[in-house]
Order: sequence, then C-alpha cells, then structure tokens
Amino acid sequence: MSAAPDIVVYEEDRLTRALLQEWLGEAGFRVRFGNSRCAGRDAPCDLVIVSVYMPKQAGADCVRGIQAAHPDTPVIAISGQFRAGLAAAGATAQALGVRQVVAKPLTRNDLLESVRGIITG
Amino acid sequence: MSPVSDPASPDTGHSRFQRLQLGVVALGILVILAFVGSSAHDAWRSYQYTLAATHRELTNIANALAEQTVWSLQADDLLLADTARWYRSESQKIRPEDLNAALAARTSAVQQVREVIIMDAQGNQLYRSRGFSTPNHNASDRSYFIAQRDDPGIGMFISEPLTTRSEGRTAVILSRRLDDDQGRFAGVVIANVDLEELNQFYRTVDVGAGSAVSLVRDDGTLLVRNPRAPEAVGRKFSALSVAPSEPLSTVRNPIDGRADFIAVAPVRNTPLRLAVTRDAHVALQPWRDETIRVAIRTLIITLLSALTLAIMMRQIRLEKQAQIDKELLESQLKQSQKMEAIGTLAGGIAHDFNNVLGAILGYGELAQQQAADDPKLRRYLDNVMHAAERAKLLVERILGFSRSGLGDSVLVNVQAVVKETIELLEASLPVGVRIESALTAGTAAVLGDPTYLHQVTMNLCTNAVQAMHGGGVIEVALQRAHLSAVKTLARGSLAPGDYVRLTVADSGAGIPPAILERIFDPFFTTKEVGDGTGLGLSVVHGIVSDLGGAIDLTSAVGSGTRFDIWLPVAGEAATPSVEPPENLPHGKGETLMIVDDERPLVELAEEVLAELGYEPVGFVSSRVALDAFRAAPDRFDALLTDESMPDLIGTELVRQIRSLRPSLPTILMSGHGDPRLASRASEIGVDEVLRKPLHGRDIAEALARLLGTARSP
Repeated sequence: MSAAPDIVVYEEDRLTRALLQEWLGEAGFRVRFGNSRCAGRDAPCDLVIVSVYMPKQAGADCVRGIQAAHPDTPVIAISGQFRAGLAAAGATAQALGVRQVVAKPLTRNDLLESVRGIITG
Repeated sequence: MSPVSDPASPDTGHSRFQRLQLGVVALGILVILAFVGSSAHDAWRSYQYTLAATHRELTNIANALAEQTVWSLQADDLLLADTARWYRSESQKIRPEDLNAALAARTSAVQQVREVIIMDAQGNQLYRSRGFSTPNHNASDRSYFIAQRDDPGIGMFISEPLTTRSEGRTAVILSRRLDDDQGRFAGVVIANVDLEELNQFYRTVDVGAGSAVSLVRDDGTLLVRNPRAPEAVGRKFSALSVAPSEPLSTVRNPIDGRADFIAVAPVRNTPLRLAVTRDAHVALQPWRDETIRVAIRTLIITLLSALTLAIMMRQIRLEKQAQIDKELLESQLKQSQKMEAIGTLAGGIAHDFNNVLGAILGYGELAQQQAADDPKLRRYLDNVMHAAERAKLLVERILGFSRSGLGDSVLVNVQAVVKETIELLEASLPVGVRIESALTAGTAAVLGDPTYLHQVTMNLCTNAVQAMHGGGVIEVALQRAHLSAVKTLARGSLAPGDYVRLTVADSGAGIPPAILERIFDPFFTTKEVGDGTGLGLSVVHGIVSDLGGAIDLTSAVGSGTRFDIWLPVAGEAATPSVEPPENLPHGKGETLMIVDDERPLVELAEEVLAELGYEPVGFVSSRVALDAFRAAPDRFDALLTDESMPDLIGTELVRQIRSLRPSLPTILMSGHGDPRLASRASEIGVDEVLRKPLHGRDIAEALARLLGTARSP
C-alpha cells in the first residue's frame, strides 16, 4: 500500500458522517464525502460507502447512480433498513449490486472489518 | 366473513339487494298470478258465453222450426177443415164414384199429405184420395177416431206415429170430425202425413254439428227426428217436451243417452212441441279449443316470466357479488395503503433512529475507550450503551413489520420450518391444548429468510394458544395449492400460480368482527398489558407481504379463528434430514435458570431440558430472574437467557449475574445472528451464543460442554 486508500462516503446524516470520518480516519484511510443527489464523475478512489434510504425502492436507483459515477470501484451499502442478521456479502448485497452491505446502527468493528476486507483483499 | 372497513354501509348495501330481490320475486309472482287469473277468468267468461250463445241459438232454431211447422200443419189442417166442409155440403151432389177423384184433386195441393180419407161413424173408410187400390180397413180402434168420436170440440187431432193398415207405412194421422146436420158424429176426415215427408222438411235445415231436431207431441211422443232415429219414433220421451228449468243446464238425451243442451218451442195451435238438442261435448268444443289455446299461451307467458325473473335474480346476485367483491377490494386497498403507510413510517423511523443510535453507540464506544481509567464514567457510558442497544432491538422489531426492510432471501423448505416450529411448541403447550398437524407440502420452498418464516408460524401458533383458554385443538396444515385464476383473500390477493398454504386454526374464543380488521395493525393487542407487544400479527403480515403472499382470515366468536397463509412457491428445497434424538448428551439433575420473555419458549425449554435430565427453573421476566438469583446465588448451575427482552436485556442480565457469580456457565439465546452480539457477549463472558430458533441438540451439546468442563476442572 503506497498511499493511504481513498474512500468516498455518501451519507446525509451529519452525525454518521462525522463518526465515519472518525473511524476511518483513525484507521488510516483518506475520507472524502460526496453528494448522492448529484453524484457526478469523480476522481478515482478505492472504495465507496453509500448510505441507502429505502433500499427496496428509490435507494436501489441511488446506488446504481453512484456506481455509475465510480466505475469499477467496490461499494459498501449501509442502511438503517437492512434487517438484522444480514450476511455482509449475501443475497441482499447481490440484489443491490454492491460488494457488501452493513446494517445500521453501525459499529466500528463491523464497518472496519468490511472496509479492510475489501481494500486489502 | 370478510373484514369490512365500515360495518354500517355494506350492511345497508346488502339489505338493499335483499329488498330488491324480494321486490323482483314479488313482482314476478304477481305478474304470473295476474296472467293465470285473467286467463282463468277469460275461460270462465268464455264458458258462460258459449252456454248462452248455444242456448240462444238452439232457442232461435227451435222457434223458427216450430213456426215453420205451424205453417205446414196449418196447410194440412186447412185441407182437412175445408174437406170436411166440402164433404158436408157437396157430397150429395157428387157421384160417389167421383168423390175419390175429387179428394185426390184436393190432396195434391198439399205436398206432405199422402192421402186424405173420409170415414163414417163406425170407422169404415168411405172415400180415399188414392182410391181403393188397397184393402179397406176399419179404423174405429184408432186413437184419432176415438178422440174425434168422443170429444166433439177437439178440433184437429194429431195421432202418434202409426203404421197404416192399408199401405203399411209409418205415418202420423191428422184428423177432423165430421158432423151431420144435427151435429151428431158422422165420421172423420183424416190426412195421412208421411213421416218421411215431414222429416224431409227438417232435413233441409242445418242446425249444426251434434244437433238434433225432434218434433214431439205434448205428452212426449216422438213424431219426427232429424237425424233419423226410426227405433225411437213413437216412443214417449217426456224430457224432450219440456225445457229444463235452468236454461243453460244439460239434459240426458233419452234417445242417444248423451248430455245435451236443449231448447223446446211449442208449435202454435197444435198439441206439438219442437225440441232442438245439441250435444254438450260438441257445443263446448270451440270453448275447449279456445281454453287450451289460452292455457298454452298462459303457460308460455308464465314460463317466460319465470325465466325473466330468474335472469333478473341472477343479475342481482351477480351485482351483489360484485358489490361485495368491490367492498372487499376497497377494504383491502385501504388496508394495504394503511400498512404501506405504516411500513413507510416504520422504515423512516428505522432509518433515522439507526443513524441516531449509530451515533450514540459509535461515540459511546469511543468515549468508553477514553474512559477506561474512570470506573464511574465507564459505568455511565455502559448504561448509555445498553439503553441504545435496547432501542436498537425495538427498531429491529419495527422493521420486522414494515415492508421497507431488506433482508437476505434464500430458498427455504417451508415444511421443515413449520415442522420444527410445531415440535418446539408442542413441548410447551398448556394442559388441554394440543396441535394436530397435517404437513403435505413436501419440498416446496419459498424465497425468504427462514428466521422470518419461523416467526410467522411461531406467532400464529402462539396466538392460537393464547386464544384458547381451557384447552382445545390447534390445527396446523401445510399443503401445496395451485391457483389458475386471481384469488382475493381477506388480506391481499394472489396471482395465478403455485403456492403453499399454511393453515393455523384454533378452536378458541374467536375474534369479534369489530376488531378483525385491526388485528394486523402494529401495537394492536387484546392481551393484558405486558403479555405481548402487539407486534406479533403485524410482523406476520409484514413478512407474508414481503414474501409475496397473502393472508386469509376467518373467525367466528365462540368457534375459533383460522389463518390461511398463502406463500408463492419459488422452487424446491430438500427437507434437512433430522438427526435422531437418542444420542443427545444428558444432564445429571443440574438446576438451570431459563429466562425468556416469551412464556411458550420458556415452557418449551423447561420441557426439553427436563427430558434431558436437568432441573430447569423458568422465568419470563429478567428482573424477577435477577432477584431470584440474588436471593439464592448458589442454587443454579447454569444460566440460559434470551437476549432481546423488555426492561433488562440478556447481556445485561448476564453482566449483573456474573458480578455475583463470575464462573456461572452462561448461554445466551438470540433471534438475530448479529455479529456484534457475539462480540459483546464474549466481552462480558458469555460462554455460548445460540441462535434462535433453538434446537434441542444445540442446547444439549452446549450444556454438556459447559457443565462438563465446569464439573471436570
């Protein structure tokens, strides 16, 4: 790993954004935030974390929009509407077309485990 | 029984249809009755008319013929009277040998008189218009002779039909008396009227089918009949000489023995009567034909009316059904919109709350790290974290009934899940309650989360158990079903296709119609406060909807409730093979503390563990359990506790009990395979975390492992 990996986070909740900044920054990642409403073509990054509201409906489109903005970049979807007991890379992740899903409320261990799993793996 | 949104309006709708149906039936019956009645009346009127017309016709014919008879007999009588006068005044002037010829000349003027004869006072024939070509006979014994001889004022006498002695022909004799100058009886002049001639006259008149003309004397003696009846002529038929008192009644005709209408007219100035008879059967034939036509017409109209009625009834029934369907659909739509709104609301709450909780838990954790050296602050933060964990569980439950949640879906063999749940429940059923199951779905599988499927069965069965106070039977059935058309159920409708149908029916108290439509609403509960969360059926509804299924619900107060859960079959999955239970490790009477806020699960666990040779003590409240442990910390050999419980969650209970007895073997049970739970559990020293639904094998092996290690240091 030559430089610190770049992670782009799409999260509208201010507190959650701050928390992610805290956790990821402390773990040695470079974090920048995107606006999911106008996800334009962005500079390449190593990982995208996107918060999904209503993953069954509009959320899925939102994820696709962001994936289009970051081609060939792994995506982690986080949502308060994932049910408990979700497998990180299970059927839900496949349905959404993302690498992994993590249910909110987030815990540091879960999140970092997922992030490291993707970036180092 | 379909749940209806507004109990008042469909009722009035149905009674409106009922009134409509009654009205149509009444109207139809009225129309038919009116037709039948009017036809019967017409027939009756027609009958009366036919009788009257027949009577009128017969009377007219009788009168006319009588009048004709009068005229023709008047001619005969004129001949006789004139001959008598002529004979008295002229006979002396004419030579006797010319008298016969003179008579013949007179007679030839009157067609129907065959012969005129003059007799002396002894009945000897003096002169004959036809001459004496045939032998002379004495007529002193003949009725006409005797009548003229004995009654000077008799005038013209008409005899009964008799056979003439000179020619042997049947004839009626018209006679008049001959007096001498002193007025003494001097003989008779007679006219021999040929019956054939007389008959000839009546024969020219057409009196109609089945009719007969009879000329009778006043005493009923038949003189002439047309149609001819030679054997009856001369006999007396009193019935023919008098008209019946009831003008339209029939008489038995003595000649042919049939029922006849009759009209009798006297022949003026003669002792004769003319009777016209008509066979009643023949006379009424036109009426009968007409009546049959009317009857057929009425029958056809009645049938058409009945057909129309049936069609209208069917139409009303269809419309009624359509109305019911519409109401059902509307109520379903309303219900699904409501659930949708609740789901959206719950999804929004979950989203926001999870962000909030994430922040609390995340920063709380960071703070905990910073507060490592400050035990007091550390405890405060721990409590914040626990409170947040509880909030998180609540949010999870809310997400359970909202359809906005997204979870992993795999092919799940429904029968295996249902069977497992029933086995789990059966061990803990209250006295008197039993489950009868008929599972025939085989390898049918739905696409979903087995935990949720388990929850559906569990919630329905638990509900059923709670509905039956004092025992009863819960029937659980699982079968495949194929729908070839869209099917509308109480909750939701199904597209054609293959389904598995899970039926859970209890014989319990039933659900009053008033609350039937609310039972799937979140937080709606009829249970005592604290007995349940009120989320059970709403979770069922949420899960079933999520699986693409629908729920049918029938309930009658007093006779029980039946839930039918229809789930679309997504494929086939083999039933996981069940391991034989005999090789489960057994306990040696160790006392176990069981804590779960769901009583059936506690009872189940007690049952299973008692069978495994342990001494289980169950608690449905973690507070009570904690108090019991404080009261006797050494009583228990192990602790089995559920994680998600109101008031005091499992991990917190474990933490507090561990502070009393740090080495107590502890098993945590959780419905959620949350990896954080495992880490939190190991943090506070939980020995084993078992995922619900529990398997006897898992518990047995875990306990054997823990107690075995505990026993053998």
